[in-house]
Amino acid sequence: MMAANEQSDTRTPLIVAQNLTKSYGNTPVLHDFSLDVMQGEVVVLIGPSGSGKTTFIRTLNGLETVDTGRIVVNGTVLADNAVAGNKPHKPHHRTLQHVRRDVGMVFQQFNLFPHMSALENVMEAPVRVRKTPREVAKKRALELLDRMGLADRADHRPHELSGGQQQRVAISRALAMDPSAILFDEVTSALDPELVGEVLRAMRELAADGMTMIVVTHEMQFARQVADRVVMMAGGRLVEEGTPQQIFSSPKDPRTANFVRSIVSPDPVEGLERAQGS
Amino acid sequence: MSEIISWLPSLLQGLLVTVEITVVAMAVGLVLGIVLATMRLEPSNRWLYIPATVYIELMRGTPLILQLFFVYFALPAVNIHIDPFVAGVLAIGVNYSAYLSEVFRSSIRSVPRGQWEAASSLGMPRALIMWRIIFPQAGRLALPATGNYFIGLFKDSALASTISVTELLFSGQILAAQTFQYFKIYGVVALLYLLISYPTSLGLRALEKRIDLTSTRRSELRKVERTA
Repeated sequence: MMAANEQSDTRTPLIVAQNLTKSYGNTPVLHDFSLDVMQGEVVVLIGPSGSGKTTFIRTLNGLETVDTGRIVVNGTVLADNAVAGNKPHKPHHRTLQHVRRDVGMVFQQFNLFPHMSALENVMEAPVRVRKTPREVAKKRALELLDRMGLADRADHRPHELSGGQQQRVAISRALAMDPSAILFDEVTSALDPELVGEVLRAMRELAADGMTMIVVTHEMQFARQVADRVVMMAGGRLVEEGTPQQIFSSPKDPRTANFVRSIVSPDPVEGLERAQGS
Repeated sequence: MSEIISWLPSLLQGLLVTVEITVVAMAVGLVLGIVLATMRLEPSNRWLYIPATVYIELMRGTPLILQLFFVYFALPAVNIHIDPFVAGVLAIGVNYSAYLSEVFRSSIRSVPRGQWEAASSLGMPRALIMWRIIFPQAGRLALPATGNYFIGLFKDSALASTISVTELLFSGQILAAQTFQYFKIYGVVALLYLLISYPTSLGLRALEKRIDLTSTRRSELRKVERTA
């Protein structure tokens, strides 16, 4: 896990985001935000809600545009210093499709296709987008579902699955495209507490296999154990970044300290007050 | 009783024409309706949105019977002569497409945004997302209202009698004018309409249940197929 950090000087990052700004009307959501992610690195984004974490990872596959800044994903330029005040720079749809085929995304609400079985959900993009032969795609999809512990759920529709199972199908669906990186957008926030573990375990295994991951989460235990780097955001800015050890045990910025305390606080009301006081 | 039997051949012939009008006009309505709904999905795309909107308001804002008269009686003035059956099917189908397009548009809009996002995040192009992800879900949402319009169209097909299409109602009128047995004849005509519309509505209800995504029946079936 340390290897990624040591090599970061000699290799080109897989994902480059430089000086991103974005605002909705007068409300800034990203403010001169920069972040590079190396191949095989697991970066966890933390911060209070509204800090721009979700917006940021959605810019990396073009679900959101930026007002200014530069985004390069695996060599493809998604945004390049679009002029402020002009219309947000909109990449060509072919560029978007190219990047999206290479960068998977897992959503808070799973967003599985409800009219398809788990297997069909996983096979859909390889068959229709990559034109993988059906039999090949099916074999691979079954392997992925099996790896996620869902071999016996392949024929089930999403509504017949628990939230945790649905989210693992969603991870399989992203993996089926053989992505260079996967974006995780608060993927355990909509789950019942007892189902969170199974999803986090699957993500930890992915990380151990060397998948490049950018993870927005409030699961601090996961961040501590799996992240190569933790990035603290607030108000669309990067507040502080470092190893989990640095961020959780000796944060430099008081906002980070407050946020970390609010998340681990056993008293939700106290936690809320602290978070709001930050 | 024997007189009713003697009327049946011409009434059944009329019923057949009624069914033909219904099926063909519905097909016209569905196809045009989907096209119109797609044209109106993005209001910012003015060249598609405005013509479709004008068309829909025109069709919904004037009586269907007037539209029938227009196609059959007014178009010959500009040298367009259309066979009564075709005129009836066209006018009714075109009229219903306006209503159906609104059903389809709201159904397409009702598919959660997350479905679009998930499909795009897999790199699926727009048309493929529409075809594979949005339409199958929107179709399910649209079925109850579409079914109602289908039965409505079946009954409205009687308006074609006003432009001399010998469908069920007109067949009855002809017999009634000959025999003056209004009560019996229109009674039988009513029964014949019900004979089609009631089973159709039952069938639609069954279809709704069958394609309901929250019913577990189908995956159970698949499981049975697999283990067998």
